[in-house]
Amino acid sequence: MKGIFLEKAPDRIFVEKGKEKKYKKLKDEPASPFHKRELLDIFLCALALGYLYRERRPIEKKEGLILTKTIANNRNAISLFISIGVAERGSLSVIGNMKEIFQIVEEYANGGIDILFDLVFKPGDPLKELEVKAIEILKKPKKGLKKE
Amino acid sequence: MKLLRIELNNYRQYYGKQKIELSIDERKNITVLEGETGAGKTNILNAITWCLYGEELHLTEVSRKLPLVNLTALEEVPKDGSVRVEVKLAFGRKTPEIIVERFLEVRKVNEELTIEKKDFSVHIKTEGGYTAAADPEFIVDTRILDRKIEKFTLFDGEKIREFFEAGGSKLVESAILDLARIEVVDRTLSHLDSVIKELRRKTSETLSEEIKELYKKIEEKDRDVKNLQKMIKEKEYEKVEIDKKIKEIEKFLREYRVEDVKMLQKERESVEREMKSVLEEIKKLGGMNESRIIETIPLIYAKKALETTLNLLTKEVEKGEIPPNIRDTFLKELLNRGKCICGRDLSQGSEARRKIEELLRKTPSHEVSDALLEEKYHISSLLQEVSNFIKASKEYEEKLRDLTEKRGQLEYKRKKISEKLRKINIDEILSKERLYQECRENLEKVMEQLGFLKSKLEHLERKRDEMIAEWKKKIAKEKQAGEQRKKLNFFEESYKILKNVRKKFVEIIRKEVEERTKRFFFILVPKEWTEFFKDVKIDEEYKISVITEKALPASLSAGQSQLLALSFIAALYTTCGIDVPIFIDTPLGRLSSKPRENIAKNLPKYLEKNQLVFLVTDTEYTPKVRSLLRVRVGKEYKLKWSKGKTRVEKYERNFS
Repeated sequence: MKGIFLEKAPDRIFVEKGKEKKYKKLKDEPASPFHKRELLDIFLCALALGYLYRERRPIEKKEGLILTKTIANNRNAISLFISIGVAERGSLSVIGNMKEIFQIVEEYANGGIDILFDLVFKPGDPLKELEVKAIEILKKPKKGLKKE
Repeated sequence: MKLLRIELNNYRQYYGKQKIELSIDERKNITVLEGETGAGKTNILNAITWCLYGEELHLTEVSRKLPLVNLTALEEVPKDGSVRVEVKLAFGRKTPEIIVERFLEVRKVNEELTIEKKDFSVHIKTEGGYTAAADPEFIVDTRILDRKIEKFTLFDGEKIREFFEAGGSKLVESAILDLARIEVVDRTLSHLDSVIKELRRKTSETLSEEIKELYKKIEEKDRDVKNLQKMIKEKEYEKVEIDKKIKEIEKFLREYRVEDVKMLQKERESVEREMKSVLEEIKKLGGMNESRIIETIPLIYAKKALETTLNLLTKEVEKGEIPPNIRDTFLKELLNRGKCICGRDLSQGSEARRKIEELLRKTPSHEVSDALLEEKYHISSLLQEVSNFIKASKEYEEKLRDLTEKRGQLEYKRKKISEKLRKINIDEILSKERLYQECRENLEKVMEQLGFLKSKLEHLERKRDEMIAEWKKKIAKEKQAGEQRKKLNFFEESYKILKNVRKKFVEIIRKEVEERTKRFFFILVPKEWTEFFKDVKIDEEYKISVITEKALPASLSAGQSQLLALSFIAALYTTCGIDVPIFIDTPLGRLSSKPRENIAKNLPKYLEKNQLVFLVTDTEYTPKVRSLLRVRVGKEYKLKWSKGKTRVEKYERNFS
């Protein structure tokens, strides 16, 4: 799957121009739980938050953030991209169209990054909040959650 | 270059003229100087540094209070006479090529010592004999022993454990970088940096006010960065000094004449070691938990999508679509053959062929179907991982609770020990204990301040780099800055490349030294320790640690630290390939017999390319150690001290 993924995927993941600063701050700030982690880790969290809260926002002006070859070594990232793409389209046929899958994940991450950024830089323990929300989801798997 | 000979004349304990010929034999590369405490072993190191640099860099508390000149010689000199104090060092491969000499003539006038004459000279062998060097300091630095690396060639065995104590990582970094001669690259980088800054400034001056102003702000930020770096250095120095003070007080209490005090201090040190271990475990656990949450959260939040995809894939498997009942490779084979396995003709244009081609079009390729099947299993395992999240969170909480409780108990023990020490009715102890607690509190404050300053520095450097990026964008739009921009690009690229080269080079050296330190350490330690000690690491901050079977840094005893230090020294020299004599003062001082014998057997083997001088006490240089070292010992001397005079005598070579 990795080989097929690389063959048909765009060469990089894009974000909204201007929002790459949010990613960089999340990575660079010592107070951030993502301090010195990979941009991909931050992107995946942003994507997951965007998907959870159904905040899919089209990108108006693109800025390249992560090279696709970086994702090649992250099996979980590939599965996540594909699953979100398939769930969005409701069909496995979308797997043949990596361009579309990338667009879907980029747009969800575009919505999620604002949620993640606010969560990290407001007072409190962001990691704890993420964990608590995750446990809530696991204990009630069938119910949807609304953004607070 | 080898050190062939040391000649002393009325230097400190050394009465009259004393000569030590060092071994230059490649196979028997060790010279042993044995003497009891006070005989003048450490002053051999002082003699060398005094001769080369005019400073005694290894003075003990006792020596500091005494003059350089031998007191007996001074007493014997007639009235109005003077005593000549002299140290002469001869360097060369087999015969003296460079002779370094320093002397003083000292006279006693009314209980005061005055220096009548002094001189320092370096004579170099030429065809006609020996010629005095015009710049003797330059010759010493460049051809004999650069002052910067002196501390890594003349080792005080008791102090080499400083590599692993407060500020030790700076020493380790310094040792590795200095011996690898990285200063050449650093000088070039510094020069390039100045050129770049000057070019930027000059470029800005020819352009708009806006650009000039922006560059002024960049220069300001740069100054702020430099000031902050200076503050951090000062704080780090403060931290090292406080730590040294703490260690001094601990040593004082540990060696105090009252048994209760000794026992309490030893107990406290054991508590501190355990505390360090617990804090490391808490930190490690926190890091692992953070990673666990960050890596699993996206899977949990997208759980519905994973489940949907898994359901769809499972349905395809149940329908026989994945993998397909008939593989595409099989269908392609049939078409190539032009005949079905049942014998039917599949030639071009035939109905049967058309049907096979239609079936092939609908069948996913085997790569795709294999990949989809693999994906199904992978998503299934991810969902399993997701379902374990709550359990893993509970386990983390429990472990953290246990460790926090343990930390609390240790803090309580620590407090109790301090209270007991304060209750001991000795003023000296009370004041030391108060000072100790004060130092501990100050240390915590300084560490907090350091953390804050480093964070601020990171932020400031980032801001400065952003401003430089903005400045570059602006000048890129200015046509008249074209030539200067090209020059600037060239220098900036060169700087980047050289910085990268330096980074890679330093990394290679660090890894190599780490690997060799590990190798030597596991050769030198007794076998039974290897069940507990599993690895040796020198991290990116140059902290050396021995790692236990629990993957945590070990708290080492004095003897174990000594072994690690000796391994590190051997690693340094075998990595950097430097040819200077290495002096180790009391290398086996704090070791028990087994590790001592291990070292005696193995260390010389791994420093066989270097000239080695061991300054040992009689308790270190036991008959057993002497016998183990004998294949490598080229020369042996005894430093015999009596009534203010040390004489150097050859050892009788009767190995038992």
